[in-house]
Order: sequence, then structure tokens, then C-alpha cells
Amino acid sequence: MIYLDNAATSFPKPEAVVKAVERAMLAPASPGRSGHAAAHAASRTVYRARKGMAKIFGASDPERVCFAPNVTWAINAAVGGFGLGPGAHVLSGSLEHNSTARPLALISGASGIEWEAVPPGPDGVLDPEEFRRRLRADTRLIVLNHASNVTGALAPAREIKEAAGDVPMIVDTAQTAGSVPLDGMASWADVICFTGHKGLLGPTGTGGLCIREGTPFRPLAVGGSGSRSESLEHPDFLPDALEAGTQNTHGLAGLAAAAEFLLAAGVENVRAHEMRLTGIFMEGASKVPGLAFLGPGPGDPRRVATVSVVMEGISSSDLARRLEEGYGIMTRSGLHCAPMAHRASGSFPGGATRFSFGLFNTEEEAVAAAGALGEIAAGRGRR
Amino acid sequence: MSAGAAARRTRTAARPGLPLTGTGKAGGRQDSPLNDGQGDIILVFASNTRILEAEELLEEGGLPFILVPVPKEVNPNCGLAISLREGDRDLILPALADAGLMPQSAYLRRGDEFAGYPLDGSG
Ligand SMILES: Cc1ncc(COP(=O)(O)O)c(C=O)c1O
Repeated sequence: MIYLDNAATSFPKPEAVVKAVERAMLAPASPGRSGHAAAHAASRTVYRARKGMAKIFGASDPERVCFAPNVTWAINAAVGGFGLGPGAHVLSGSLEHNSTARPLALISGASGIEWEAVPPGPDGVLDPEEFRRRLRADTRLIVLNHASNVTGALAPAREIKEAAGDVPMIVDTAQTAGSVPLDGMASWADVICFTGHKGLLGPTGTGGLCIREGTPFRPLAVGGSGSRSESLEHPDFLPDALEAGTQNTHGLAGLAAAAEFLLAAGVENVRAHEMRLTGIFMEGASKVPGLAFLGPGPGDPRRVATVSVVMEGISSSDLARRLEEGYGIMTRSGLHCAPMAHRASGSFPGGATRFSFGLFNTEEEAVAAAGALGEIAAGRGRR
Repeated sequence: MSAGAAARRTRTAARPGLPLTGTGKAGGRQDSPLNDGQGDIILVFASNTRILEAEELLEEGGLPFILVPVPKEVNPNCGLAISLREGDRDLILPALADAGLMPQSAYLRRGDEFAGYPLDGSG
């Protein structure tokens, strides 16, 4: 099997992550709730995860990191924190995933908020100038997918934030955290949303937000927090404000181990490895007749290790099926929960076949994937 | 007492009735608390995360403290508090203040008696 669906969820996970989850499940664990040693050990595990994520994003205060089940939940919480009402104007990129697009569609439908999506340039990359041109006096928020899970295009997020001046920005790092060095991001991004199970190499069911000092926040859910128990009002301080209910201690034990693994390995080394494989794959695939890439082409560094292709004469789903049946290569076809990105790339509604590389893929696998595309395109594909 | 002397102080058994063992690995467990004329200062923090940060700081500094359940006499919360000997206050409170980790409130415990403990440096 060749697993090239790391953009959906990374596989395999580091051994240390698997072991950490197992260890956590072998202990009683209710973080922050009771005064006994086991509860305290669980609290310390969650705190380790908080510190690890703070380091990944370069946040000086782990209390600004709040956990959530995934980035989708985190984005919903982050958008809600701004309490936008009628008359507000919101900008986003045009390569958004539904997890940013649907919360924006929801508030623009229900609350009379105007949402405008900025298209990418002909090279498939967003241009900060296009954001600057669309800024208005009533622009209240920018929501940005940091890297497209369809085209792999990396957004110039910091430059967009600089172009936006005082307008706050929420960044969806689902496709970049753990794969692209982000240890300066907390100094300029107002809310960083992350998911633990992709490039961060952690378990599913982990994710969260890193909220810059001075940025508004609002709970999506209220309830038990282990703090201010005497009051019927949910705590208003971070991280408790956004962490109602027992946290996913087992998953967060894995996320803590994953963050420590990545920090020891060096995210810049992960990036270099993934981009080397991407280069090998794109170079090989660019020689295949009738094959087109979405987004930045071979050799363009403004991308992540996610490459979607469209092959003449075969649907995206049939191509994925041929790759799996003939070669054991696992890809993902269709619209990738991101119809906006496919529309912006001209691949709607047919979709594309996506190859996404991760830390544990090898050069041989990248070569094999390009080779398989060549054989299928030439009508010599294995069945 | 110097910080070094405090750090070298050895730990004794946990106080009866308090289930937690101390955490400051290099730091000293408190001496028998109730019969040397000294009280204990109980530090209650605004959040669970805050107390974990404080614990880590004191532990790394080898400072003498233990974690105890927040005494119900002073605060209805279900979490933990930091307990230190009155005599160690000048080791611990400045370290917390320097790191921006001052507790939300503090109490002086003598036996079963609790009293508010001022944190402004005058107490
Ligand atoms: C860019 C982007 N945002 C958000 C998500 C949603 O992630 P999750 O399902 O972990 O919330 C994904 C992945 O599916 C993604 O690629």
C-alpha cells in the first residue's frame, strides 16, 4: 500500500503518539476536575499539549491555546467570537474549505453579513493586493485557509494580514500546521485554528485555537470547566472559556507527544522532505500527456505537498480507483469538501484526483505514483 | 534561608489527610507543618492552566511547595492549590510575581484556621 492521502489525515502516526494515547488510556483521567494525583497527571498531560502547540505557533503563553475536537469546531468558535452583526463585511480567500466557507455562509445568510471571497491570480495563488483593494471601512474580519487542500497553494497569509491593517484575521492551518514552519505566526495572526490529525501527526478528535491577546472570543458551548464551580456563569478566561466539558485527554496525550516529536524533528525538516517528494512527483507527472495540475506548477515553492490532477478521458473517481486497484496507491478524488476551491480552479463539478505526501512517504513512493499515472494515461495501466 | 538551602531541604512524608504527593522533584517536601509555629500559605489560582504553569516554574526552580486540593473552607472550586510554608514565602512569591503568575487569592492556614493572606508584599 502507498498512502498518499495525508491531506485527509496523516498516516502512519509516530510510535510515540500511539504509545502516549495507550498510556493515557491506562490511567484514570479527568483533567482539572479533582484534587487527586491521577487527575493532576491528566491535567499535566493536557498542559503539555498546550505548551507543545504554543511552541508550534510561537505563542508565548500556553493559556492562549484552547482545545477543540477539530479545526472545524475551532473555526466556528473563532468566527463566533467576533460577534458580527448586520452591516459587517468579511473577506476570505476563494480556496476555502467548507469548514471556513459554511460558517461564513451561515452568518451571511442569517445575520445580514456581507461575505466576499477574493479570487486567486492566474498562478493559483492569492495576492495580498487583491485583499487590500477590497478592504472597506466596514470590513470586520478576514478568514483565510492557509493552504488549499485541493490545489496545495500556500496563501501569503502574513502579507495579507499586513495589507489588512487592523482588520483581524482567522487562519485555518489544517494543511500547514506541522508541515510548514509556523513558529512566528502567533505574533501576527489573531486566531490560529488547527487540527491535530493531519500534519501535526496526532490523533483524530484533537484540534483547537490559539488566540492572540486582545482578540475577542466567545464560547460555542458552556458547562463544566473545573473552575469557578460556585457560579452558574461559565468562566470568561482562556482556555476555560472555550473548553466546556471534559477534554479529550487521551487524544491530547497523543497530540502532546506529536508536538514534541515534530519540535524535535524540526518542522523545517518535515517541510523540506515533503517538498522534495512533491518535486519528484510533479516532475515525473508533468511528462504525462493529457495530465493537468491544479494550482502552482512544478518547481513553484508557493505550495504544500498536496497535488491534485485532472487526466483527460478519465473521471477523478475512476482514476483514484485505478490507482488503488492496480497499484495500491491511496488518493482522494472528488471535491474534497472544497467546492469553492474547485470552482476557482476550473475543476467543478468533476473534481480532481489528489495526491498528498507526508513525513513518512518515501522518494520511491513519489516515483511510483508518477509512474502509475504515466501507465494509466498511456492505456497500459495495471488492472 | 537562602534559595540553595531551601532546595537542599529534604522531603518528608506527605501530610496526613492530603492525598497528593508533592511535585517539586528538586524542591523539598514541607516539613511537618502543624507543630513548628509556622503556618502554611495556600495559593489559589484563577485557572487550572495557571496553576500548572506555576507548578512547572516552581518545580524547575527547585522551590519547596506541595500541591493540595483547594481547601473547601476558602474556595468552592474543585481544583488544586499550591501550599508553602510561611517561612518560604520570600522564595516563592517573588518567583511567581516575576513570571506573571500571581495567584488570584491566598490564605494562611494554621491548623484548621484559615485567614486571608495579603499578597501585596506587606504581609
Ligand atoms: C483546509 C482545511 N480546513 C479544514 C479542514 C477540516 O478539518 P477537520 O475535519 O479536522 O475539522 C480540512 C480537512 O479536511 C482542510 O483541509
